[in-house]
Amino acid sequence: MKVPGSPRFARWVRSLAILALLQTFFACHRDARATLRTTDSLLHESLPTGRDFAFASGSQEFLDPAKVAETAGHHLMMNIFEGLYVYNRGDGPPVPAMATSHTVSADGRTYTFKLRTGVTWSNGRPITADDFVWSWRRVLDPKTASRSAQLLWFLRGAKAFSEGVDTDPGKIGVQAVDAATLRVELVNPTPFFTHLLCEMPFVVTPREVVEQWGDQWTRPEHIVSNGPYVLAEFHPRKWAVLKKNPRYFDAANVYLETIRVYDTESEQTAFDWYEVGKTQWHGDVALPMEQLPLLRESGRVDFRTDPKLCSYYFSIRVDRPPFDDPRVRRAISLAIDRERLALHVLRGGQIVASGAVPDLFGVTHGYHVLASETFNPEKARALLAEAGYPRGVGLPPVEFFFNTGEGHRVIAEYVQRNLQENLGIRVGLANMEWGTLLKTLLAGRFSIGRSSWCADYPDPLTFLEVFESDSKSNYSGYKSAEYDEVIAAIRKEPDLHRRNTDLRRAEEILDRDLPFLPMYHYTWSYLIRPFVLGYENHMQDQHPLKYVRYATPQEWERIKGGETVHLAPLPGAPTATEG
Amino acid sequence: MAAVVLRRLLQGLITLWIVMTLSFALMRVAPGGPFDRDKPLPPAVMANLGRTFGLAADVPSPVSGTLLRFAAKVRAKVREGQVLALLRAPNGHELEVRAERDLVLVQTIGDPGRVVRAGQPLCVRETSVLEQYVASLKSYAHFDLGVTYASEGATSVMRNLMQSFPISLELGLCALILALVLGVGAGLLAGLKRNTWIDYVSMTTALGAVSLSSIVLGPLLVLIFGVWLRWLPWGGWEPFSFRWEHLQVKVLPVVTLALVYAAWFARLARAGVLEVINQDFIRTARAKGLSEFAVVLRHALRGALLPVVSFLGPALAGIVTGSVVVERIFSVPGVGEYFVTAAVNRDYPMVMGTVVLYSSLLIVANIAVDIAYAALDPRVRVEAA
Repeated sequence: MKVPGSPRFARWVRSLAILALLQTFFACHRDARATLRTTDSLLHESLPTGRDFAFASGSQEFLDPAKVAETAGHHLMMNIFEGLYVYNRGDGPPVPAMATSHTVSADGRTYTFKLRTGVTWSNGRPITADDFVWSWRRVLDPKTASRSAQLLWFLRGAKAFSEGVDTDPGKIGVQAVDAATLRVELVNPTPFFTHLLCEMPFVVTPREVVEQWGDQWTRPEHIVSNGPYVLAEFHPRKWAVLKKNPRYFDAANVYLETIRVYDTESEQTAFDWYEVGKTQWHGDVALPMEQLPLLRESGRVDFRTDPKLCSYYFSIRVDRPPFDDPRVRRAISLAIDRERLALHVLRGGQIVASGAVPDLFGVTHGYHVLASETFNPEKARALLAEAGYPRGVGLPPVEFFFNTGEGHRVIAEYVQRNLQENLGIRVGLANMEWGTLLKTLLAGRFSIGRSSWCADYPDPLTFLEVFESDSKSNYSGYKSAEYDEVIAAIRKEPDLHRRNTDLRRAEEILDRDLPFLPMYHYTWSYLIRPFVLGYENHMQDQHPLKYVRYATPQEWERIKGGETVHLAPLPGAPTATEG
Repeated sequence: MAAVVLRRLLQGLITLWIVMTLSFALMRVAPGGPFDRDKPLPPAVMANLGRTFGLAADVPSPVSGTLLRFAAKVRAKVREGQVLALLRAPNGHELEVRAERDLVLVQTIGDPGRVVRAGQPLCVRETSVLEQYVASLKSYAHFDLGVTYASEGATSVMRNLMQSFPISLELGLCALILALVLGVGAGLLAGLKRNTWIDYVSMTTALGAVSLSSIVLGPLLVLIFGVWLRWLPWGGWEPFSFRWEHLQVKVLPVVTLALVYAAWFARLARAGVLEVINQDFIRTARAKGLSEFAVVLRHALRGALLPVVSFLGPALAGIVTGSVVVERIFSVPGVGEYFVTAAVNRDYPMVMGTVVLYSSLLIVANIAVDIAYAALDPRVRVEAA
């Protein structure tokens, strides 16, 4: 046994110290090089000669538009399959795809779609209204066990079929009137229904192929599809290749011939691939955390940020003293400087939230969210004193619950410091694994707990429903008959204008009662070569690659000159209201 | 000898069973289920998924009637004998349906007013851990490892392992061979040329490699050879072949994985050589007039190899598990990735699959090492017999 202080031990310590130094040196060096590319080097690249495009994607384990739930495989499927309508190029109304137009009944509950004439599957078989009926029934079938089945629950009878209450698929509100006409009946007037139609569970799937091959039907050797691309190669967790579908109805306007999708879960690898030019879009893997601020500050021409329909907030248990007093809730909310959090701590371009709904529905709904005060420490102190806790005296200990995750601790600690500095409240932090936190939230055994909500469908209602009295995700235990009434009214309202008034009313009630601490709305940052056009900002972060093309030499010169070239949104689907 | 091997295999089988049972229990104790997400799924979807994967089962209604209300809540524990639901029988009587066992509800089917026939599902419950355990053991006995949750049941665990294991094996074996060649070579030289610059250089390098670990070494090599020098591509994997365009992407991960173990081997080999080099039988060999080369090859090398061989078992374990890190860094589609993601996502069948694979591998490797050891060291042979 060697005693510390012996010459051998000293040698060890010395070599370890040198190693530590070396490691720090390399670590710093890696940080310093940060990015390979600069705006200058990106603009000096020559235009691609071919029409090949590549991006990285995380863990594509399987492909089935009926079952897709998370991002994995999503970018493959959305370019292989299409439904009645598809996402626009950038923010805009849905664009006709398998259908060309529709009529809506006066009560807003019945939609009749006219299918495009001559659309076929990649094997040449014509696509009929029956294909849609079968495909949508398949998504709802309990045996399919689709995680996104609830997106179709807007259809009459769909929920009961999914739940196993009713086993007759004929009662679901989707019928083929004839081969080219599809009638859809909805539970409620759903003004965002055409947006919903762009989601993956609403695409059409080839019955004969699914029935013949079962779970294996999306293998490249079996698959039959109807989108702008067909699946040429698919190696789960390795790579996939998409080729242009010559039978696609709009093939003449599809520019990219081949799309290569490289699979990686590693953020660094996806980033490096982009930097060395293996991919033109870095992909659907997040950018490395430590690179984000650097990229943002570098002002690189290829760095872009899209808003997302996702919200980060803390649920406040409203039945637990002292938070049963709305003044205490508001005091805490007003004591948090969210602007600084987004700008200097998170530095990901996050959008400060004053309420539950992200302000992204201006174009589609003509709706602008309620903007209320987010930071006012004087008012916060006054409110707290008014509630009987001047300078936080007498306030029982408060604990913030959050789950393990890189950003969550940073945010919780930031809020902790804010409350200490602005209100003199001492806050404890309780960190746990997501599963445990979810259990705690569901059981209501907390005062303040981290939560988040991502839109189920592109409408403000999805964010407001969370706080309904019997909502499963209403962890706050917030119960307001007034609020429930307004939400119910929104569901039944066919008139967009009146509906917007109701939405605003719901937001006002929520802002008054504040059963949560709104923090920020998510954003999504990505890198894309500056010569790639048609990949426009979209509120749901959806970018069909059929819209993407490379710049012409003239456009490329303009881009090099500092111009930004955007391709405008396409005209939406024609719609008419029936008598 | 055969009897010894057979006994070891039987012991291995029992070890495997214990490992499986423990992992099974640990997975279920860990909070959160495979379908828990930031946003909880609706009960009906949970029930449909659960039924598909044997995690949920229907609770049939014992009687016919009209549903008045459910007395138990989704996700809540219900004790045996507790009331589940109230029905109105066709004759107008109110009936209480009680739980026949302790259970946790996944879904209550339908709203009040629903007409239920006897035998039709009334609600859906979670299957108990014991039920799941028995079902898994049954399918394992038929060499069926089940389907993965991540693929929504489209891919079997076996298929995933069959596709990914050869890749991990290729990576691991290449790294092991490289580590042995580099490590034993350097250790032998260092031991024979003790206290010369050769000794110092190789041992310092070894110390460096051991301390750096693949987490640091991997990105460092990528930075130098991939990003700065642009000599080698990285990320992904190519099919097995000896063509350079297929080999080049494998160089960095193999070297990363190998270097750390080469360092261990070097230190062990050096110690082994030092132990035998001054012993009598070496002196005797030299006295017999054997050439220095023959002495090294026949006697010193054997001495150097003994500690190396006994370390092979743990090394193999290390290389297999260590490859989890390397596979992650280089996006190698091997088993390692499954080992991590499946556990995080609570993909029970996939976790079990990797556990079974790794444990079997280690058990077999240890048996192989024992046999090799017996072949190399006469003393062990005597004891075993």
